[in-house]
Amino acid sequence: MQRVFEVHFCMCMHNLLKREVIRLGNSAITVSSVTYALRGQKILRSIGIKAEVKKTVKHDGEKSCSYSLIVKKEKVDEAEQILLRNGVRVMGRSEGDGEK
Amino acid sequence: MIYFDNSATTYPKPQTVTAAVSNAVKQSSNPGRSGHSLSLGAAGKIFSARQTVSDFFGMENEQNVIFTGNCTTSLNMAIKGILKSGDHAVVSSLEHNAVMRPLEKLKGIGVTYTKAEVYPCDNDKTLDSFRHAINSKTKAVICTHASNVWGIRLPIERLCALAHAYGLVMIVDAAQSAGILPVDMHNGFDIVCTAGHKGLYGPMGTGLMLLSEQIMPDTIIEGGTGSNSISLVQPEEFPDRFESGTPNFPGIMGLKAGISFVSAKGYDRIAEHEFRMIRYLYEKFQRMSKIILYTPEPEKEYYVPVLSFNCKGYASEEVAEILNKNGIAVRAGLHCAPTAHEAMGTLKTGAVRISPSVFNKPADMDRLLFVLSKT
Repeated sequence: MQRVFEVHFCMCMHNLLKREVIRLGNSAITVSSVTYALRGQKILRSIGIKAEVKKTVKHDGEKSCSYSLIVKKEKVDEAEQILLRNGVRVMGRSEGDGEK
Repeated sequence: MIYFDNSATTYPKPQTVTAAVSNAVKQSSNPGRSGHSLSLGAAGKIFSARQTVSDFFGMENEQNVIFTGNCTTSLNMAIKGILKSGDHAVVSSLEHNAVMRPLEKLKGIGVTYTKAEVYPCDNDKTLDSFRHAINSKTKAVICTHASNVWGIRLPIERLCALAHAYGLVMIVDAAQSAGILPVDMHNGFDIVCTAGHKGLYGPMGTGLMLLSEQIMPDTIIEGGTGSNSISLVQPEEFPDRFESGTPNFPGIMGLKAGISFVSAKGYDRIAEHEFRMIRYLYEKFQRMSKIILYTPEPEKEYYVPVLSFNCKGYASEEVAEILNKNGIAVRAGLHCAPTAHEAMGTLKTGAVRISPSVFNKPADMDRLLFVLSKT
């Protein structure tokens, strides 16, 4: 019983964390540093795209210790282009897969 | 105490600076390392401080603002990041040891330098002096914006144009000018180094290295930046490239508050306030036979509000001690700038330096004059 509870608890935490990082309908643009992330947030905000800064959760070699800009899925293409045009180095993108 | 040692560090600090430092110590977490709210919040505040600095110095990109521990660290990073074996640099005859000592060290790898004579109140002659010092191996012009001993102001905008005409890097030591004179990166300076704790009224332990878009100095310190940790190679992106290790978060918050204070008051109004006192002092000194002056009456075009002198029959440190006993703080000796003293013939005696701040009052000068008259 104790073991069932522990496994269930871990799965809940895992799903909770995944949901907290990238919700359904959102995408994440990964950048290399927190300064790039904050600069990117400022740039996107200035043109009306809301972006939240989060530490990137996935461990994926180059994306270790990186930061993500979380934006609405329908805005991500535009957001990425704007960041690149303003000299913010984009390392990649992730899509939100919603609640399980 | 009447404090006239603001060229060393400004005192007192504005109340907003003290509050900013205190709040930062109470609330801070290591910025740009962890993903929790405290860390991200601190990172956001550092970013905001970068923006404040960037706006103040006319920069387009806040990422080119590098926070350091002091101006000396900034100058070491700039000088050693740019000059390589066999390079030559042109410096002025008034440089602080923060420029001269790194250059002396670099002699060990074959770097050479030439001191260009500075002619107070004759910028054309000073420009010519720098021009004649340039040779085929010259890589950089490195010079102070204003002498920390004599207050002599160099025409750095014209020197920058000269440097660029020869394809050289222009490195400016703005320790004595930031917060008093306009220091605008739109003039094309490649690197500007300054202290956060002098004319910018931030706390000690803060400095700035401001980089143009075109410059990419080598690093002299590598380490953890909170970014791309898997790589053992120092990141290329600014500011991370030059900001390894935990930043001085309370200091940076204090510096931001200091710059906001200067912006609100207006650097030109601060300069005018200080100049008024220095000119008053100079006029009185001219009538005192025991006072030895080394520079002409300071004009804003050619000086910052710093004045050094000696008293006949007294060593400079003796005068400083007498003033200290009478509640007046000054700095005497060589001011970490033997080159500047050599230029004026005071290498053996040193001098007594008066450097007021926005918080000094005209009555402070009267008190100084009274004590000196009784000496």
